[in-house]
Amino acid sequence: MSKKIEMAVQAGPREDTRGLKEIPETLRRHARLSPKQMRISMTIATVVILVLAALMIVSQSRTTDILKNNESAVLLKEAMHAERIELTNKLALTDRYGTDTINGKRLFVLQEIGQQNGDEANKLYWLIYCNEDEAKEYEKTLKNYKQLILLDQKEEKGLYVAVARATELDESIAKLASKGITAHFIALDGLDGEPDLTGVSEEDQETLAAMLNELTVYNFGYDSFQSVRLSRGTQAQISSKKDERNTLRLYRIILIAVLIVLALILARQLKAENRHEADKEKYRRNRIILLVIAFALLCGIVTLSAMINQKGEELVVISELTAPTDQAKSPTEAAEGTKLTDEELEGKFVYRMGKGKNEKVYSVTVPEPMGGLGFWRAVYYVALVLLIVFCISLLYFFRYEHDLGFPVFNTVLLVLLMVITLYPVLNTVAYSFNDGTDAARAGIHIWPRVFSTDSYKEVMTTSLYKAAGISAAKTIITTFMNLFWTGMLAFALSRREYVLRKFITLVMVITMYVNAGLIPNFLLVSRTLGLRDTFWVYIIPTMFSCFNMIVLRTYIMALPNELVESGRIDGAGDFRIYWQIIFPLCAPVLATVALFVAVGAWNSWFDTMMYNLKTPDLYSLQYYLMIKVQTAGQTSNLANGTVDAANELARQSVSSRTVQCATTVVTALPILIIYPFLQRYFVTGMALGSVKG
Amino acid sequence: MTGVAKTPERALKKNKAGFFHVLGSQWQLALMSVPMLLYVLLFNYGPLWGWINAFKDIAHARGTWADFLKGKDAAWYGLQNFENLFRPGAIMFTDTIKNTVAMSLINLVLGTVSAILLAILLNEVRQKSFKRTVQTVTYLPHFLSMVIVVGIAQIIFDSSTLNPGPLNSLLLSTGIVKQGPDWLNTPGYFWWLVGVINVWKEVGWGTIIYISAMTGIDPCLYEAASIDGAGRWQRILHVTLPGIRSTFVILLIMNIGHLLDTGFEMQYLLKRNATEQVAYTIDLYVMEYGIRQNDYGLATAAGIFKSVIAIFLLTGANFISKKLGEDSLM
Repeated sequence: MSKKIEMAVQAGPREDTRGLKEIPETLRRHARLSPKQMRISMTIATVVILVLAALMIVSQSRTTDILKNNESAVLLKEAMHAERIELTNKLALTDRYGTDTINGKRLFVLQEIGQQNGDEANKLYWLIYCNEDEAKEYEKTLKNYKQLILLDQKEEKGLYVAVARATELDESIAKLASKGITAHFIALDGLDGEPDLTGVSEEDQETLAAMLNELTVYNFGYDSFQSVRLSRGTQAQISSKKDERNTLRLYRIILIAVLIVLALILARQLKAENRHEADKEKYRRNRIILLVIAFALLCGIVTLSAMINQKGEELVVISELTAPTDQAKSPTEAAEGTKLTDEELEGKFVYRMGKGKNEKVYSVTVPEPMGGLGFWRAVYYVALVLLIVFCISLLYFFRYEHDLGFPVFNTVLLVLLMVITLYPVLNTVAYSFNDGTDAARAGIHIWPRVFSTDSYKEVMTTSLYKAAGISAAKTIITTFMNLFWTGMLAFALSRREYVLRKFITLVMVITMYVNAGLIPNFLLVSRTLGLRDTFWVYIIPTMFSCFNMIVLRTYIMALPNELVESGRIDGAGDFRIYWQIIFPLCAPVLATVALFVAVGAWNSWFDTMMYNLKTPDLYSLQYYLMIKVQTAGQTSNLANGTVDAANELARQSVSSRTVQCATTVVTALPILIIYPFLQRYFVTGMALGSVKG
Repeated sequence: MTGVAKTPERALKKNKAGFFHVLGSQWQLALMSVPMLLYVLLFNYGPLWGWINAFKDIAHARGTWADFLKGKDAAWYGLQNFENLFRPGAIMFTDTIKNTVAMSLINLVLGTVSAILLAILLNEVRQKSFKRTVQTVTYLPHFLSMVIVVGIAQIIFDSSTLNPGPLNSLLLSTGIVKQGPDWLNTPGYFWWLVGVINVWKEVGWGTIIYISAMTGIDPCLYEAASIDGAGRWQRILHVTLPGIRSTFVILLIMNIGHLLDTGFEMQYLLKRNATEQVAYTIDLYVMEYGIRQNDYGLATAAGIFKSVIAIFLLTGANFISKKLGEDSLM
């Protein structure tokens, strides 16, 4: 379908454009825009845009930097129900583990700790003390969770974490024993008391004990806030900050007030316009429309107000106290000195929220959607339904041409469409400029919440520049080659006296209908021609397009023949006629062809995947983006088999989502920049264009 | 009388000698065109020779000219490869056909309807500046590459519970659903997801051709209709829509001819483990079996299958359009 469109765009000017002078007087009066209609439509469009922007901003939640400098915070994690946990920036293995570094301490966040309550089949976390080879051997015995995370390492032996069911573990131990390996296993929640170090050799015991000493275990149950142990002895203090919710509320109320004012202004303007309406019938109809619009706006406002009243999130800052004591605290003790009671903390989830100066802020609630609000919920639904009903009722007013109904509806729809088109792009840009860990929370719409360019720093690697260079080179060279050969061939085939004309044209046209398929092309390019793993595989197979050539030929054939003849008379050869006469004349069409070819070459990624997979130096930019986006969440692929990968990924401090977005923005940026300048070429074509069959 | 035809033999002889003579005098044109002729013969007709691979038992790197000339030809397989297409396997070929046709039809219907609707709406806009703005904005996604678009889509449709994407956020916060549907991982949604993303990407571009067709409708028809008392809606229905009928039919037929060509870029990028069964199109199947698993014979057989059916569809479409009296495609 796009071929046809391209043809239409490149076709020559139409004979009978819709000139106003030919339209009879009555229609002209109707067709021309009345100032009143223009004002109204523009106002409506502005209001709708503002409403939508307001909605987006209003529903985007805010965080504030509420930590003071001398507080530090620790990472808390909730166990159970992996779907609720999102530690996107710290994933090392499967989505069950996470790592972090806080105040220089390495922290490993594990889920589903301590399900040992009777259910032997549950997965458990085990600490394994062994050296690297033994770790690898153990990995081989594991079926599901194939890797171990290295927690700590002293000399050759390291402390690893693994997940296994109790029964699985017995099997694995048996398998290891048969290989002569006796790694030492410690259950993770067996750290409450003294860990059982029997079976560990003397010199190792001290090392192991030291390592265990520095270990941090967090253990949160689904339904209760269990023990918090930062390290052996550090207390945790919990405090809550409810300020943010009030700020949000105020913000939303202000916005609603602004909307009401806007609605009043619009209503007033419409009413003023209507007062001058001479036609009584129309006056009456317009009043009805006014009422309808006012009511719709009212419903919208009610809807927004109802949304305000949802219970938001509470922020809880969990900070590490500076004075360590020797006793582990029970939950009640740990909560001492905080404003939240056990009941308040009950049933809540903890997840990481944002970054203060040197600290991290954690939130301990679940955002509640609309559910459970009773009265407000009912109001909300009624208002929503009424809003929709009244909008649809505007359709009734389509019948009358000069009334406001249809322009309103049309404008609203088109503005909505523009929003739907632009919103994903803006959203991606917003995410890319957001701080990684904060992006793990929902609620970012068109503006970043915690501004940071970390993702871009992460993204601007040499491999990106290389890929960009390859793409740029590919685009430029392909475009030039295409223009060069297409132009010449089109000219040659436009000469009726050329003997080979029919033959070559036939050959070209048939190729547009018959395609050999993927594999034969692949075999031809990679094996017979040996273009695999080279840069030229990007250029040579895409050097020429029959379709563009035929379009150009049509255009050249439409040029008056006198030009060529006068050139011939002056004694110019074909080359000269082409370069000096025809080529400059084809500039618009050639520009359009160049545009399409360039965009196609810039956007292509499949050729890299087929031919250049093994040479990362030759990756095109789109393919580079694809790798980043498709595998960012699957870090397990990267970490295959190497225990060190866990450490490597622990050092990354940006979330995969923001890195994805940053790469996307960087890749799309050239097109977005050049796009306004390209407007000319296809808009002109469209204004002139007609369908050429 | 001059100009009497010469005797046949002399005429023929003159023409025969004439051909190369004329060609010689047109050497510049020849120089301009013959290189590309050779190029097209090599790159577009050359691979057709590869169709013979479908009839050979090729699992690995045989079947090129080099091998052929060296005499290392593969064994003859007859139609076995074609039969193998339909054997049960991880991805059934019949499933891929079903997927391809389904996604093509959905894309076709959604794309055409949305393009026409948008064109109608744009046509009724009286302010040029607003119209131009809308067009500028909606043309943009066409220029973004599929990788970018799918990357954006994966974020929008992200359905994790703690960090839902904007769509699920909206649905949750307005209370339409209690729990965000898992768009990307549910097989049932996949085809529609592909359709929607395609519409988002191409609707603006698709309106170009319809709008240009609409500008070709005689304004007097509108005037006549409004004199007869037609409201706006009726004018759209009875003047605008019939006016673009021929464009619509041509495009429809052309798209039917390309029914199996729905491609693989979006499907490849968007598919997940859970949606594999519904995501595989014929081209993706060819890629998977041909390039990933090096089973060239099978993949070529699939490709031939597709090309042959495409030829039938195109010829059929062309025939139908001739019958309907519209322009033919060829």
